[in-house]
Amino acid sequence: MIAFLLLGALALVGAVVTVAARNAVHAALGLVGTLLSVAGLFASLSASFLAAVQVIVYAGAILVLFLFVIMLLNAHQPVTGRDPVPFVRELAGIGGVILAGALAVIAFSYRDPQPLAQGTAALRGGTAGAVGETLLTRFLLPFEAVSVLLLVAIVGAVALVRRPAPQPDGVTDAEGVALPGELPERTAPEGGVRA
Amino acid sequence: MDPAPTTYYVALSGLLFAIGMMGVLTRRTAIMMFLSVELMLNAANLALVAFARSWGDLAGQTAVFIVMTLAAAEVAIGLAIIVAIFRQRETTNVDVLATLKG
Amino acid sequence: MLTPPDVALAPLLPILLVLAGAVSSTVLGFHLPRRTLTAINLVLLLLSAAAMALLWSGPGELPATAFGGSLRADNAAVLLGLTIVAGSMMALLVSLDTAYRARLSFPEFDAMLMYAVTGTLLIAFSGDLIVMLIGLEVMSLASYVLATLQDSRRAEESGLKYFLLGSVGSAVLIYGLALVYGATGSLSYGGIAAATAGLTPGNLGLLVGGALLLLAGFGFKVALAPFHQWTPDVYSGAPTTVSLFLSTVVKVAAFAGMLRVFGGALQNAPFWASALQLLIAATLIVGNAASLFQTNFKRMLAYSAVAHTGFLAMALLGTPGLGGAALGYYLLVYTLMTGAALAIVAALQRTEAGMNISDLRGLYHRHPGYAVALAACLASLAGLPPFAGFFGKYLAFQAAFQNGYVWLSILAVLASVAALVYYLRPAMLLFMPDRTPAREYPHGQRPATNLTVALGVAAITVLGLLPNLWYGWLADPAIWELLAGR
Repeated sequence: MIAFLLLGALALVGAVVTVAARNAVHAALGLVGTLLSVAGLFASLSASFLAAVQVIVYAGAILVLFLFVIMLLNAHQPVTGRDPVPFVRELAGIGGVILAGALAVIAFSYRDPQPLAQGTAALRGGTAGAVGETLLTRFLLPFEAVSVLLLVAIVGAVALVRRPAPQPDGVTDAEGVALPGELPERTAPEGGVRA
Repeated sequence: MDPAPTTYYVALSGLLFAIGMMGVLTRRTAIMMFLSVELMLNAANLALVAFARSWGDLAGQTAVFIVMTLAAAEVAIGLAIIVAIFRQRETTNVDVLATLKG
Repeated sequence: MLTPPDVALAPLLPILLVLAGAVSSTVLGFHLPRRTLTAINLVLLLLSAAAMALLWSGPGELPATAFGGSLRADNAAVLLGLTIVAGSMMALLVSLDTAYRARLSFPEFDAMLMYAVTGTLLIAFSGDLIVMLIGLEVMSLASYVLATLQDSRRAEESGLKYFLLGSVGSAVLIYGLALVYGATGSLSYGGIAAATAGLTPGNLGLLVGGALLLLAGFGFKVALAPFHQWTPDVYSGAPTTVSLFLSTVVKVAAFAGMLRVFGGALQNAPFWASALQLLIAATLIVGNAASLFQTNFKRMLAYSAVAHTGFLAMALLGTPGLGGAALGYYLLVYTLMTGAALAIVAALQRTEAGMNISDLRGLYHRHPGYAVALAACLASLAGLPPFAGFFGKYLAFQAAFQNGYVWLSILAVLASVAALVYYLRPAMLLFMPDRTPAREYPHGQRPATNLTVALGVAAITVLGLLPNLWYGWLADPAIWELLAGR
């Protein structure tokens, strides 16, 4: 119980930092705090394998990738200026409070289907062996399908960052001359985007 | 010592989800919106693990493993899109993407 | 005791064939020209359709399942899968003619498209929420890449918008999945349906909350208002070939997921139908009203896709037997007519921004074939009788009406009357006397596009006159009542 309160409070603080920090690096570090706290919560829910994966994959790999991109794009400066949608902060605040309230009410209406000790025992500590066994029996199709997902991510990311050259299709096919008032495709309108 | 009941975990995940949703609605750079989405995914994972204990069912934990993979793939694509767009520009502010408004 | 999973290849074959196309495009792309790969992919799609047709189970036969029910190759999956293959083939055929102009003619385009089709088929063949989720993600990730792939400002912006809102939708959907799992203790459609039949009141709140979040998540994917904001920007910002794919195949797959989840797993769960009818009402009003004020034809078709989401989703409100059949019919017709209309836009547009509605004036005197075909597509989209769009709309309205959604049906009829205005205005302009100089792309006439358009228009005409050619396969209510298995 004490562990839950401590880790839960940490997770919430990290979450608030993530969404409220003006500097993107601070936000990412807040998210690291939340991720590590959630890993601790996983451990307290007898999901030891997931706790390890959370630290290694999420806090380790994914967040490092985020930080890398933030640094690469120099995106850590805060954005200033007016919100394009009026009252978006106020509306989002009200909506968020209502959503949180509704989800909390739903959560507290939950009744465990069996005593917790019984459920905890059935999990066998959530070790790599236990999870792996489920993964390769009941979850064999998802396990295989996820490999397709990872392949899509690899091919897609490479294709996006290093755009291949278009191949001609064998038909003489010059792009039509631009009509008056029409802009050629590639050149974006000047001033439309701050470069 | 008493383990914390499932309801507490689920309520905490609900709070995290709502905070993430607020972040998505208020933040204005692509990276920050995306960080908030990661928060929402973590809230879902926490709820899944809590329910897995409650039902004594390893399927919930395995589903979390799958969702983590999913999040990783999404991050790879998402950051590739963001890098592809903003490599030559100095901002990831989504407000400047005004060309398509209307 | 370990129980080995029941691996069966026959139900998986349609998906594997498409995946083979995707992988071969990825790998062989280094050696073969892109057009060869497209031809290979078209053949593989045809083979996949044949494999699906072989999976058809006659009356009394049990549908093929594998992986402990994670994969369900039932008749619903076959019918939705065939619709998906039809849309994908249209997109590939059109891309043969337009990919070079759109600067998309490289093997990676084909690869991503085929990966997306793999994901869509996984959704249609899914037997539990996790497989559905993975299929949805494969499809979405590949679609984000497709929308961004063109090296232009417009495409990149539309891709980023698509990605940001799509990932929010996925997160909402996953949270809903978690809540439904908590309420029922099961992730398979059959298990959820069995658990919701006799639910303890303590977990009802969780189930309703989960169902609503799933609805919102799917709302992002199919573009139900108020989650539709990305749709017009993405459909009009992406290259037209990609828009064709996104507004047909991807939407069909998202509806297949909705049908599996809401028509199968959650059919006994309360309250989501009431929420859905509000979303549909909002979608009908927003989509149709916005379409009225568009000046760009491509963007108008994008808003019309939103409006059609509302019409399509009405079928979900019907009883599973009627509603499933209505949705199955309407989805194929929607794919054909939207695909053909966008194929014409892809052939005639000067730039990827599409063309203005006023540019269509007098098209009949310059391209009589395209003008007549476009008029047929528009009439079908508007729901005018000789064409299949009429029967699709009729079935969807009837499904909702018979299940007691009277006011929504009336609203839908009013909305389709308003829709007549914006569909028939361009259709009339096509046949007006030609006064302005031609504003189309001069080299637009290409065999593959002509074939796509001809097949699409012929199909909507034939299906309008003889709806039972397709509806006869769908009409058996047993197909749609066992979406979750037993």
